[in-house]
Amino acid sequence: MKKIFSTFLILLALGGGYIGFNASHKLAEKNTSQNVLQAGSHSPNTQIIPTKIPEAVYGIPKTLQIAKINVNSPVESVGQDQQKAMDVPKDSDDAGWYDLGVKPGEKGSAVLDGHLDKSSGAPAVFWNVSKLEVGDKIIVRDDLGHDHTFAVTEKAQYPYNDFPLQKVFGATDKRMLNLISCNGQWNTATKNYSHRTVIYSQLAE
Amino acid sequence: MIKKAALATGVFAMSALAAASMTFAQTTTTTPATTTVTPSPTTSVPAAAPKTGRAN
Repeated sequence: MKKIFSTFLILLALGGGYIGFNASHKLAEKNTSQNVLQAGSHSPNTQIIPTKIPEAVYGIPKTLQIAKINVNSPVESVGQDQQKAMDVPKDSDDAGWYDLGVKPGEKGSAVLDGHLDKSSGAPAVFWNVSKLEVGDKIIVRDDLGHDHTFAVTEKAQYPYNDFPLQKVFGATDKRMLNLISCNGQWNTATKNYSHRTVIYSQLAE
Repeated sequence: MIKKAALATGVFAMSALAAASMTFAQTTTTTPATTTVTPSPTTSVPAAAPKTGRAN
């Protein structure tokens, strides 16, 4: 009698385990199928996982081409000088890319500068930059071998002491490329021109 | 006899609970997120415009 009762107890315990497992498993299956149906309405067997397409990769600018003013020059990377102003390229026939900002093609304001003239007074790389007009094309090739074409959107001149730094260098949702060079009167005492020309352009491709 | 019946009911309940909680733990495993966030590039705005005149 005692043996029969012990066997009954064991069977009862095993039965409890089975019932508990079965009930919770069915509940889990039901929840999973509900989640799938919420994610996609076409097929209950398809689960949609949200993904974000990565942004295109833009390299370091290496050459600058502006057919309108016959510019085809290397691009140097520049930072800031001792006065915290944007630095200039070492070679007067090169353009300088501000490498503390975004790369050309990225969202934001990429900036290139170039000398207007040389110490002899001879033309430098951006001698004719003020001749650019809205719609003119600017092409930058990066170190990945990609060409990025920009179209001029605006041309402006500013006094050196009233230069709109935020507009030229600051953040924007657009993909801007802004060119800077000198303009105005040469001051022999300060060794500086009175004005700056800025050519604003936007990614066209 | 009553004692043994109570013990049997307790064992039954515990077994059911253990099995249920094991299954629940298995089914609440979450799938890792696949969304990639691209950091926005930042710009350090200089203090002044470049001196692009009369290069040496």
